[in-house]
Amino acid sequence: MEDIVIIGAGVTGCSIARELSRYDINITLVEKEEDVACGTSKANSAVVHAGFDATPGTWKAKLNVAGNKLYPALCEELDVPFKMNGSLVVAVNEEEVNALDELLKKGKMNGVNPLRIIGKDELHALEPNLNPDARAALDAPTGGLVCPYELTIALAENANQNGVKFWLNAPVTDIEVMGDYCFLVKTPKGNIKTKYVINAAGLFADEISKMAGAEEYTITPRKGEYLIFDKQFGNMVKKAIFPTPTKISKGILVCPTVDGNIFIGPNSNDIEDKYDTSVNAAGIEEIITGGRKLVPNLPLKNVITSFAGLRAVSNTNDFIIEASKLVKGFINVGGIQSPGLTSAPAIALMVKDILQDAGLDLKKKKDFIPHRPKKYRFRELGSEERRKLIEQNSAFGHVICRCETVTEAEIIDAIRRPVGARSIDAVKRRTRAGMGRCQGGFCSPRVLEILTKELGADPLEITKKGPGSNMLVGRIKEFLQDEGGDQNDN
Amino acid sequence: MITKELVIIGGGPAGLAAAIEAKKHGAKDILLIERDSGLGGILQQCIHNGFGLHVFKEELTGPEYADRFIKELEEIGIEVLLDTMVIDLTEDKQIIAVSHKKGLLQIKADAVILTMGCRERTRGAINIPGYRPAGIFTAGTAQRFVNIEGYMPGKEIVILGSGDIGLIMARRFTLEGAKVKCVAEIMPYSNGLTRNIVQCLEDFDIPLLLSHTVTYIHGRNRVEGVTIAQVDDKLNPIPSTEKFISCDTLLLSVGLIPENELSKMADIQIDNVTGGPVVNQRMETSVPGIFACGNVVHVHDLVDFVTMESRLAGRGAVNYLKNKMPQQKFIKVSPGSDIRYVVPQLIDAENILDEKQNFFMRSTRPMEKARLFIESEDGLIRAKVLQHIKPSEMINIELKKEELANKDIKTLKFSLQEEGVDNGN
Amino acid sequence: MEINKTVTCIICPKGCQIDVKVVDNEVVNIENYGCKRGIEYAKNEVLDPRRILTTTLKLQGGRVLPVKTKEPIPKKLLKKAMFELKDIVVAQPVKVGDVVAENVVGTGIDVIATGNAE
Repeated sequence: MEDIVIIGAGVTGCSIARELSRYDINITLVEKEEDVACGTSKANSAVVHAGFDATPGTWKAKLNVAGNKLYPALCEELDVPFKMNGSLVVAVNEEEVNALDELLKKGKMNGVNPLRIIGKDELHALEPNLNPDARAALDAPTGGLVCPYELTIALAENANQNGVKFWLNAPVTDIEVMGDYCFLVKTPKGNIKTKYVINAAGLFADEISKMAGAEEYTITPRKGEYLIFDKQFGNMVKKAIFPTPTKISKGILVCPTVDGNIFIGPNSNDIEDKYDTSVNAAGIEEIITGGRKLVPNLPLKNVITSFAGLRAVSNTNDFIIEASKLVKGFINVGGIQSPGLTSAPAIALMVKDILQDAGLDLKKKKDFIPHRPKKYRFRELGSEERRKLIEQNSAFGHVICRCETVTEAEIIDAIRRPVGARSIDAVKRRTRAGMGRCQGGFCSPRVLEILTKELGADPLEITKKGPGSNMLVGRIKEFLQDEGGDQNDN
Repeated sequence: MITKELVIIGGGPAGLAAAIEAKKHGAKDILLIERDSGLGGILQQCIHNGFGLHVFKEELTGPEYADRFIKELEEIGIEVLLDTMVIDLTEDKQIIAVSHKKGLLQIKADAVILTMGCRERTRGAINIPGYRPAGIFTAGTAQRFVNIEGYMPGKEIVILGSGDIGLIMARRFTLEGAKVKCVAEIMPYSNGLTRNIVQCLEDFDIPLLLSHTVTYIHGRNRVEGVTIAQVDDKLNPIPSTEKFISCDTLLLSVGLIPENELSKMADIQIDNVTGGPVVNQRMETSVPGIFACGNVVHVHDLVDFVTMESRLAGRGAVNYLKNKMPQQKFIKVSPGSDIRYVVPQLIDAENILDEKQNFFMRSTRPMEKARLFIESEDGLIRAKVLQHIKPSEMINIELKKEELANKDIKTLKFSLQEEGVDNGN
Repeated sequence: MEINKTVTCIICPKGCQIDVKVVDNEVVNIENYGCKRGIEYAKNEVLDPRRILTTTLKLQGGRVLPVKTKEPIPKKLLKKAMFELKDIVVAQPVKVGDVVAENVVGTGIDVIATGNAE
C-alpha cells in the first residue's frame, strides 16, 4: 500500500513528488505519457514571473511571488540552468503608460520587489532592438528564465533517486474510493492501493477529480503558439519583453530562452480538444504581428521551429489547491496555468502542509539526496574540462548533434539516468540533441542507433515520442511484392 | 599543440579534391579532418548514378565517385582523422577538434580549407502548420535511413519540394515498394534537374504538382496525412483548393543551407545570399589563409562543379603557402538584374591562378533565352546568349585573364536580360 | 499497331516534349525535337527505354551495400529486378566493381557493387 499516488508528471506533479521525497513515505507517480513534462510543462513561455500580473489576494499572486523566491536555490541544488535576466512590460501609447502604473501598484501589493517604471531613454539603452515607439516600461529585475522540461526532468530524477516510483505510459482509467484515505488507482499497467491521491493531472485534472467523486470543476485548454529563432539571433533582446497585458493573458512576448534562443508567442485561444497541440497558419500570423509590435525586425527567415502548448485554465480562474471536502485523502492541484511554472516549488510546499493538516505523518528521511546525478553539458565546457572528460570517457569525444554539440556520452547518460529517456524526443529534452538549427536532420539516425543499443531494442521499436510514433516502418525490400509481369510500363 | 601546413575540414567531395590538389601542387604536411566514420561525405548515401559526367566523362554513382578520390588520396598519402569533429576555429587558424580515439586536439595550421558542406532546410524554416508527429523527414535524412541504415522511414509518402534529393528519393522509395503519392512544389517550375523529373517521377507516374504546397500536417503520433493546396502568384495558399492526402510520411526537399558555424567562429565574412563565405579568385575567404570550397560556399547543382571549385581552392591554398602576401587589389563582383549571386565575389585580376577565371552564378527565375551581360564600371566586357536558364541549374562562365587584368577596373557586374520567347522549336 | 508518345528529352536542360509515332515497332514520325541528339534519345525512349538500376543489398554482418546494374536494363524490368534482388545477402569483403548478382531478370546484365565493405 502506497502512502501517496501523484497523478501527472508535469512540473507540478514532479515538484510535489520531489518535495515529498524528503519524507519517509511511499510514493508512486503515474503519468499517461511516455515521459515526464509531456503536457503543459513542455510547451510554455519558460518565464519565471516576478509576480506583478496576478490579481492581488489570489493563489496565483501568492504562490507566484513565493515560488519566484524559491527558484534560485532550487535550480542551484538541482543543477538546472536559471537566469534572472528580468522582465520588461512595454507601453507604446499613453493609454498603456497609464496601465503600467496600475500594474506597478498591483505588483507592489503582491510583494514584488524591486519593481519600477523606466522611461524611454533607459528602456532603449537596455533593449536597442525595441520598437522605437516604446515610451516606457515596467522593469521587474526578479523575472527569470528556466527551461521548464529540464526543471521537470531534474525534479523527477531527484525524486526517483529518493525513492519515488515512476509509472510512465500509465493513464489512470479509474479511481475506486474504498473508504476514507483508501483508494485503488487503476491503470493499464496495474492498480495501486494508496492512502492519498494528489491530482496534478494538468489539462485532465477535472476528469480525474470527477473519477474520484471529488469536487467538480472544468479545465479548458487554452492554446498558445510559439516560434523559435536560431541562436545566432539570441541577443536581439536581453530581457523577457511583454506588451502591456490584457485581461485574458500577458500577451505575445519576445523573449530569450535560458538556452540562448529567442522566441515569440504565445497567442491565447480557448479550444475544445485537450490533445490539440497543432499550430495554425492564422496563429503564426497572430504571433508574428504581436511580436513585431515589440521588436519590428524579427529574423523571420531564421525560425527553427514552431510549436503550440495548452494552458490548463479552470473555471474559477485561479489555482485549485485543496483537500477534497467530499473524498477524504483526495487532494486537487488543478487549474495550474500561468504562473504555474513559477509557482510550482511553492505549490509543492503548500501540498505538503495540506497533507500534514490531513493527518499524514511526515518524518524527514535521514538519507535524502538533495542533488541529482552529475550532468555534463559538453557544449558549455572549456577545452581543459573537455580534454579531461574525453580521457575519462571516450564517448565524450564523439559529437552526435552538431548544431548543439551534444556527445554520445551525454546521450547514453540521458538514457541511463533515473527516469531515463526512452524516445528520440525524450533524449532531445534531456540533451538538446536535435533541438538546433537542423532539427535532428543529422543526429536523429544516430540517436536512434544509440537508443537501440542501450535499450536492447530493434530500431523499428524506437519512437519519436511514445507508442504510435515509431520512426521507422520497416526494413528495406520488406514491402516488395512480386507483382508478376512487367511493371511501370509507360 | 600540433602544427600542420594545411588542414582541411571535411572529407566530402570538396575536401577530398582540395586535399589531393594541394598535395599535387606541393603542400607537404596536410591533415584532413572528417567527422564521420568514413570519407566521401554525402556521396556515400547518394547511391544513384549521374555523377562524374564532367570530371570523368562517365556516369558514376555517388559512392563510386567518392571511391575514385578516396583511392587517390590513399595513394598519394594524405593524413586523415576520421570520427573527428572540429568544434572551434579561430581567425589565426587554431583548430580544436575532438574524437573518441584521440581526445581533444589543438592544431595550429598555416592554411585551412573549409569544406563542411551544407545542411537541409527544415520544416521550421518553412513553418508548416499542424502537428509535430513522427514521420516528417528531410529528404537527406530519409536517404540516410534507407541507403546507409537499411530501414524504411515510411510506406506512403508525400514529398514537399522538387529539389533533386526529393526526386531521387521518390524513385528510391517507389522501387523499394513504398507508394509516393505526389511531389508538391510551391514554385510554378520544378527545382530539380529535368533528368530527375523524367527518370524519378515520370517513369513511375508520380504526379508533380507545381504551384502547390503543404498547408497542414495531420496526425498526433505519426503522420496520418497532409493537406495540400494550390498557391496564388504571391505563393499564398488558395483555401478553396485544399485537399487531404493520406500518408504516413512527409519528406521535405525544400533547399540546402551552407553550414558555416565554424566560419562564423573565425569571423569570416558571410555572403547573405549564398549563406557561405565571400571568396576571392583562389577561393580564399575574408580571413587570409582560410579557404573554402564546395557546398559550404554555395549550394552546387552537380558534384562535378564542386570538384572543379575545390581543385582551385587546393591550388589557392598552396599559392598562399608559398607566398603569404595578402591579396589587396580586388575587383568587386556583384549580381545585377535576374542574377541571384555570383561566386567568387572578389577577384584579384593580377593573381588569377590560370589563364581563365570561372564564375558560378544562379538566375532568379527560369528563362527560355536571355543575354548575360558582364560589365565593369568602364562598360561591357562581354555579352553571351544563354538558353534554357533555370534557377536550379548553375550558370558557369569563364573569363580570360586578359579580359580582367591590367585594366584597373574595380567592379564587375553580371546581369541577365530576357530575350523574346523563342517560338521556333 | 500504332502508338503515339510524347517524350521529355533529358539531353539538355531545355526539356523538349518530343512527339514520336510508332507503327509496328518502328518509328515513322518524330516532331517537336530541338536537335539531332533529341531524335536519337526519343527513339530509344519509345522503342526500348532502359535505365541503370541502383539499389542496396543486404550485407552479411553489416548494414547494406550500394549496387547497380552494370548496364542499363529495360525500364519495365526495374521492379522485377528489385524483387529478384530482395533476399540476396552479400558476403564480405567486397569492393567497388565486384559482381554481386549475375544476369539479373534474365537480361544477361550483372549487378555490381558500387561501394566497399570489409
